[in-house]
Amino acid sequence: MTRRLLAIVAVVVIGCGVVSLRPPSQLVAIFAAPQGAPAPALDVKLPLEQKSVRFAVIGDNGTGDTPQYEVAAEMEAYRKVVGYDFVTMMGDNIYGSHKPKDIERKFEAPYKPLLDAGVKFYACLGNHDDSNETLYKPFNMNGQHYYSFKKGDVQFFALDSNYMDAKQLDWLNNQLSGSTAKWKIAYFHHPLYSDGRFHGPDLDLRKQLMPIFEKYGMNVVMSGHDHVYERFKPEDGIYFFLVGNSGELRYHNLRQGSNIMAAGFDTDRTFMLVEISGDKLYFQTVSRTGQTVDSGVLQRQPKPAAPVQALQEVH
Amino acid sequence: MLRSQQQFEVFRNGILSLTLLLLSTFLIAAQQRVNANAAIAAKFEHKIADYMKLRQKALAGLAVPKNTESPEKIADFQKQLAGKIRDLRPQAKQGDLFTPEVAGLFQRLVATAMRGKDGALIRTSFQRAEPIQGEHLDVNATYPDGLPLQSMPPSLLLNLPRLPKELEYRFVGRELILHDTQASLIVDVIPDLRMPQTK
Repeated sequence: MTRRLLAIVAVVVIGCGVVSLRPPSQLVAIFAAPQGAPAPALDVKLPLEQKSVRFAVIGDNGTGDTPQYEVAAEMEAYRKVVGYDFVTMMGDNIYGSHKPKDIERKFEAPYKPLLDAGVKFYACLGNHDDSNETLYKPFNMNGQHYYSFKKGDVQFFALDSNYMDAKQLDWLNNQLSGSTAKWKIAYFHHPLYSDGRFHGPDLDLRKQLMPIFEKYGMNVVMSGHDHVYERFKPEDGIYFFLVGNSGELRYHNLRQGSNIMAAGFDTDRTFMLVEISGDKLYFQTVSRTGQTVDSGVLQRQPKPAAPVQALQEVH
Repeated sequence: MLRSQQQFEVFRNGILSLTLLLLSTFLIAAQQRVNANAAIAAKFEHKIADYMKLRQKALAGLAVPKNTESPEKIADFQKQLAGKIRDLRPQAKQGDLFTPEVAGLFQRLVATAMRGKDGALIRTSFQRAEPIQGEHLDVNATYPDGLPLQSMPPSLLLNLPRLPKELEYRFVGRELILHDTQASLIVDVIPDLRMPQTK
């Protein structure tokens, strides 16, 4: 128990310390970024190291409206420099109607430059999605509601938080117990932590998933659902991100004075860029107008030290 | 003295016997309740198995569009599968799978989950997942295009009988539907599943 506590404290200190190395102005600017400001030249914060894993993250994007297209254009501009080759989707990939013309307007058209460049999208399902999106090849779900894939040293676990039944929990336990990946990243629609005032965290989901994540040493968890961007101080040694504003937006929806928030942005749409190299995860969150609203680097956590029985007591 | 001791022993044995009688009655009743619930759940699982056989028949001859780039093919498949299932159960009505006794069992299972230690979490989970209000869905109807699907709190799901991966429970307002996900079809409905207040 003490070893585990020490490990958590070490992760918190390392995580907060490394992130706080960013110039203070960037962190202060998070809530102050003005809307409609002229787009600066691309300001890439990632190191672009050789053989690193690079990807983009979007969530709650499938509106088919102009802001989604503008975020997509910014993603393409960054792709040309960063060279990421896949995108993880946090769900609500297609809002409203799911007729073929909607798939075209809410996915294929906005991301056409990325799709044409060979960028792969790996979707999970949100509450606005249709189960049959799993059959749609560009979402790379292979007919499954939950699945896993590997990129270099990173294993991703795309979950269906709409329907976290015993079968899915068993699958997740089995997948994680057999995983030898250096980095483990889970993503799904409903956030375990959120300062969004409209929805907030799904506490019941947190109760089911956190013991599994802790037991197997999940490194990073990403979600959507609340239409804001938020990065959290490490919780139980795990880094959490919320990217739910790549199409939708709830303006000024973040709770102020939160003690779990490390950074937040709720005045425009965003997407996130991630680069993983060795034991470091670099991230950069970019707004629809091209401003970097958050960036930093996180150190991979030590493997969980506590025995399984002790972990069960957390909740 | 001897007499009063005998009286005391008779009294004590009487109390002990009564306690044992009450306890065993309670345990027998509880066991009967468990057995009754298990029997109802087994009947429900049998009906689910029957539906899955029918669904398998409906799938015969249909090409499942695994990994297609064509949304049209997916939409066609969904429509055809739903149509063939409807053709195979034209008389389907509310209560075919969720019979009154199954609906009663679900009511009890939901009530147990909501009154348990996780009740407050389940209620909060519902509230934060954009609950759907004011919709009534008919058996054999297609789930309305564009209507979000209410996510199911995991602690509640873990209390309900397991389903094959092709079927899901979903709440739509106060209705619990059995949803065929690929056909986007309403298989059955419990029209008024009351969510009891938590502690």
